Amino acid sequence: MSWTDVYRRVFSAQALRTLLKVCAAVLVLLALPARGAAQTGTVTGQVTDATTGRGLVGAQVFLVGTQIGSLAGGEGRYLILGAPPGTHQVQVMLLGYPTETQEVTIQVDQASVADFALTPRAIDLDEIVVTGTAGAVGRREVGNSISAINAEDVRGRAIKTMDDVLAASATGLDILYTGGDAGSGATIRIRGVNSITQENEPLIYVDGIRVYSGHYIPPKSGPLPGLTTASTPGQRSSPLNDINPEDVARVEVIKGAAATTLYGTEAAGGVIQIFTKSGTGLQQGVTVWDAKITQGVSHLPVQWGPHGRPSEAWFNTHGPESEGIFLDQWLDYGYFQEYSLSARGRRDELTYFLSGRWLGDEGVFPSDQQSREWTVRANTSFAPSSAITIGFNNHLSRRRVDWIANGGEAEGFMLNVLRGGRDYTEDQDELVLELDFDDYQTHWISGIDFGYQPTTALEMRAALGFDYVEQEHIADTPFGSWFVPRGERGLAGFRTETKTIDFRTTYRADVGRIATNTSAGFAVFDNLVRHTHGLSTTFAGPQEPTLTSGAVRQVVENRLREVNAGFFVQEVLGFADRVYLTAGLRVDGNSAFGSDFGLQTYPKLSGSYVISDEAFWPAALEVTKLRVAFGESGKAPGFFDAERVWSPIQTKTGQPGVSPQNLGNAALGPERTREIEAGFEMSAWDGRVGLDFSYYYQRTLDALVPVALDPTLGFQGSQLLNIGTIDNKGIEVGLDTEPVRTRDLSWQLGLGLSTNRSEVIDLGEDDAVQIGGRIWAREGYPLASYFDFQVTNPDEIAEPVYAEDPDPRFGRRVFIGPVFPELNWTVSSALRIGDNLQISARGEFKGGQVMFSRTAEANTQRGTWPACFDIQQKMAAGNLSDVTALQRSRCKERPDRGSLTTNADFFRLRSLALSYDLPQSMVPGGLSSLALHVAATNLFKITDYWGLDPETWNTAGEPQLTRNENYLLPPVQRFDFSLRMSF
Amino acid sequence: MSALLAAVVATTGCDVTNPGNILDENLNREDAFQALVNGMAGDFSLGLNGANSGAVRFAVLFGEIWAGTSGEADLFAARGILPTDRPDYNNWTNNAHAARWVAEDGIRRMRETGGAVESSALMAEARLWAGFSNRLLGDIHCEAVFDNGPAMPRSAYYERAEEHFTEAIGVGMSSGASDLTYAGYGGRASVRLILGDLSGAVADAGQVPTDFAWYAEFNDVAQGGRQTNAVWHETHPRRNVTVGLTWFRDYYVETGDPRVPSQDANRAGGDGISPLVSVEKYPDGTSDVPLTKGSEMRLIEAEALIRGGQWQQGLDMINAARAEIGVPAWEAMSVEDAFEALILERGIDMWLEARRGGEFYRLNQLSQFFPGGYTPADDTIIQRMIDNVKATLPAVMADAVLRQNRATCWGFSEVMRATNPNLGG
Repeated sequence: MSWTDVYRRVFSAQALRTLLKVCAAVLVLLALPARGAAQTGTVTGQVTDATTGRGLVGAQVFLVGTQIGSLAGGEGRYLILGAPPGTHQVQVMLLGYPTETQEVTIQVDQASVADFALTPRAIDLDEIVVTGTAGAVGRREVGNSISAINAEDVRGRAIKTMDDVLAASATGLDILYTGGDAGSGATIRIRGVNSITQENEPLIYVDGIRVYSGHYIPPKSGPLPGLTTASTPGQRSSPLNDINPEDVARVEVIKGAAATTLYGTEAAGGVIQIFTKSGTGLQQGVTVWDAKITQGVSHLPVQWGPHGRPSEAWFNTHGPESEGIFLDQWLDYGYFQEYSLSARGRRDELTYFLSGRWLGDEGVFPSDQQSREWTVRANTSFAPSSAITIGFNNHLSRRRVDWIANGGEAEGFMLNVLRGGRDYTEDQDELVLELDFDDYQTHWISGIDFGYQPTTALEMRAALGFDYVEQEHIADTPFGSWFVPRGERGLAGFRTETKTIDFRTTYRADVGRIATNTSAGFAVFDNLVRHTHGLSTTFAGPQEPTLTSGAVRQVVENRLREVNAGFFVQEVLGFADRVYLTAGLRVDGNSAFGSDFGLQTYPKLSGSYVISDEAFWPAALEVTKLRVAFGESGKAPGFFDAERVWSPIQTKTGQPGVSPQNLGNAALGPERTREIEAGFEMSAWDGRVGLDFSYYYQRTLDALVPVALDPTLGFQGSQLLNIGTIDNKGIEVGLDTEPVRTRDLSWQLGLGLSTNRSEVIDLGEDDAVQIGGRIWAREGYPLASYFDFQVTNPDEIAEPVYAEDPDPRFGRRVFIGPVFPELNWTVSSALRIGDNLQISARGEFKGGQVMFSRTAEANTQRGTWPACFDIQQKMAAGNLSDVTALQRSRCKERPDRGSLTTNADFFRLRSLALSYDLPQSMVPGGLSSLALHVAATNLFKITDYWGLDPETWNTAGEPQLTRNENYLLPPVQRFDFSLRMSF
Repeated sequence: MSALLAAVVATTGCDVTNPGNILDENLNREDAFQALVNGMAGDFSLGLNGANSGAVRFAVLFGEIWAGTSGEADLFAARGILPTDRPDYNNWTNNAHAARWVAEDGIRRMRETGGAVESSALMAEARLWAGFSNRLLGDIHCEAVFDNGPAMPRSAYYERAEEHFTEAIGVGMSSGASDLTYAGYGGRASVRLILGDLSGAVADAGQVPTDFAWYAEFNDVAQGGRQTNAVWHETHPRRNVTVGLTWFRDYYVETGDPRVPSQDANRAGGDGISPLVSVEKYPDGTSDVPLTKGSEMRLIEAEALIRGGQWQQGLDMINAARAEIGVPAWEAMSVEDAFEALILERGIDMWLEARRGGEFYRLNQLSQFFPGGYTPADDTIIQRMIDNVKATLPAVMADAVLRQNRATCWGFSEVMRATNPNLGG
């Protein structure tokens, strides 16, 4: 497809035309002259850190009860223009510091001064949170754990996608990268997995609008049997990464059922809410422009190899039959570039944030593997009166990903290269590059938010939202190709639309020392998913094909709609501004429930106690909050799961037929997760130490278990029954310290630790359910565990002896380990030198999981796995005098898969960055600030994993609880240089 | 509040119906029966030789093709092992079982509506699919099980097939559908032969014209490739198995018999060593698989002669047919030689039609020629494959014990045993 075609395709989008009209209208408004200035005064001053005296750039300073304010700039100085005369409260807010207020008297044409010296707090109980609550509340009132990631937190890191923003940013939030292809997206888990059959991904909201939280789906996966083309990329993109990280002001993460109750059915996997930037807090009539230019290069170092083995052997070596496994000859440096520009400001009652971004990411393969995208955003809010606010947020993005065939397919690129001559292409590996896979992805999010607050006690909010995600996946095998000589074209269209209607109202009242906060509301989510696949084969000759080109054409269409509606009530009682009790209830209905199943109720109960406000509490522990929460939420079954249906099929060319599809279950209901969580948040030593601890215990009841069906009864596969029970528990510890804090030097050190241990408690009559391959859900073991042969005498110079499972059905298939990590820890360090220089690093460890390497297995079978070269030569010669049992098990001609399912623990240095903010005196004219940023991603890893890489696994076409490493590109290194400027 | 809740829930339409699939109750009507019977045909093809069927591994097991790949499943079969305790091998026979249920349940559904459909060609066709499904299961499995019931002798499948074929013949005749009638006779002849009713088999065989054939249809339009001819698929696009190193390849090279065509690709197969030779009996994915043929009926008649003391006449009958095709005659000096020729001729006639399992079953009971039973060690086709493979890939077939202990039928899959309390589930 030519650039002209791309341009034409992009700018033919109806949504884009609409968005451009909106942007034009906004720009017209911006061009209007400001209202004539009334008689006003100014407020000025400086905001500093009380412990170091440093100015606090970015602090929000505003007049309470108005939209008039400013942001503190260089050295923490601020200036508020247009302040009405009289006595006002000036309030300052900055993350990491308590909110403070001063009274000032403003006179016409005069400057009033208000300086603030803020003592830092690692835990800010006045921080406003909205996720999981009925409305905006202070953190002090919240009884569950909530993590917040602010734009400032990630500014010093190497960020390309939202996956990078979230990775290693919050305890309990696990970002599972899947490979190094440009355009690939990670899988997200919060507090592990708690469902065998339903999606374990969290719900995602953007500015209060629910958005699609799955992945862009290529063929060979998803709910359809589909039409299979020659191959697949083995990877998939994530719509979460359609959001421009530069647009994000803040992300809130709530993790378990105790917190997600108000989101009802669907929320058992947690909730991530993204808030994008606005013009709030800026001075009247001021527009701030921010620009960022990034240039970078990606690279897969050939010297990289698993810990303890000759690293170059993996990608640059000869096998015993003089076969080369030269992956390095195919690797190249991938060029990365990013350009973003945003404008935000305020004009009278209108605030706005406009942004645009273009990103080009070339993969490290020389041919075609790349991703290019653009994103635009327009956020506006308007306050026609002091009681009414109207917000209108829009996002539009477009991405094109060019994949190559990969994964464990016969046409896969890595497979054919790494197998040397014993492959499917007889060493003409470039033949694989004839296959062409292109994804065109469009994402449009639009939301309107109405706020009405006629009094300080009563608040109403209504939100209407629309999320549209579309992908067109085109798979072309040209006429004359070595694999499909007559050619083939597959086109998979995937679209999902989610409509949100959300209303909530809150009434606050104080009765003596008791504060009450009563809320109620309802929400409706209407989700429509459409798949349209076409497959065209047998072309007449060489051509630029369409689906019409082939003599044989097939089509599959699927349209699925699910409606979820719910109503909630909640009461919060606050005692003396330090003890808070919350009780809530949500009632849900869902169209996917069985016909015999009615409404579902989800209760919630929580408490928080700011014990540090008590006189008896030691002053050294400046801020301490105790919290406990209990709640329930759920997961609905799939669209068709409850119904007994047959599927239409084609038989006897051109004739219709029917075949059993799903046995159904009229009593089918949602899974219900019940969670209790307890913890505390603490800040001490002038905010140098912050500790956030949580313990949680979840039990998922009525878990949907796929009970296998006897094929002699016609309906195959399984029937979903609500008969399972699954436990999850763990701890989350976040420790933020600032061991060194002076005027000119600061060192922040952060440690995050989270554990998650799942256990299958009950599966009904059967105690084990196969999830996929050798991965099972089995009572008494972690959900999703590998069961296979395990050598009991690994270090003996002897033949392998295998363990036996006490259950004769399993025989030698014993428990090897869980699929997903059970231990995550992160370490971050940020060193600030002076006012301008910062060096930061972030590392992440994931442990407790195992993963099977199909790459190792298949290559070992062909004698092309470097780690087995010497051993296989010895075995062939009968020289076993120093060959251990485990080596024999791994390196024999038909290796034991259990021995290739190994510890996949790893530590990876995610980010190492240096930022330099130019001093004001050096900033070129016309700019208000200029920063230079150099960063490295994935600089090194430490692992004992036997396969290619522990963060490389197939996501296309695989059951969601399986992870197998199968001929995919490992995560790559990247080096970036960025310029960030404001004007 | 409750009124508000009711309004919200009511207006949001928890009564959502999704299009595409067909509710079960909507099949209880006459205008749905054609699709129901078409579906029987489609599901049977899937179970016989479609995606995820056992056709390829079964063919490898019995030496009809060789596993020239690293694929573990195929190499197990090549060694004569059908490991039904391996979860990843669960699916191969399941479609065949589902096909039987679909056909028999469809017959029940049609009968319950009553009326003209009982004596229609549709019913005759449904009976054929039920019959061939049962015969397929008998050819595959060591025992029989129906509808989550107890295990029964393998012969129960053939007996059930015989009943369905009898009904098909009757309804076919009364509805004037001659093709369906011939197919019923052909099917019944084959199962009667297996059950030891030689005279009944001969009587039925005589009703079928020599040039008649009834097929399981395959196409390239059914979604997901469910009805793409799997044997073709595994030797053409995927190159996972090969005719190379088999008796059939040697025979074709020697005689050029057009019934067993294959083509040397002049390169190695998926394992990098075995010669890649493609199956040309099925030239593309839409190639249909014969279920009964007039030529098979003539062989039944020839067998009757050989077993009845007129072996030379039987052999002459076989050789006459070979002469028409243009291939050399079999030579025999004894009734045993003649019967060996018959076995090979049946193997040629029904190559890659998933019939060898039933063949082994009936030969094993033919004490006239095999007093100790018929084992893989007695089978020329299997022995030739083993010898050729040993000469080419010695490490793979080092275990000679398997030559004697090869599986010749499949146990029930793990999912069947786990879900049927009568089988220990």
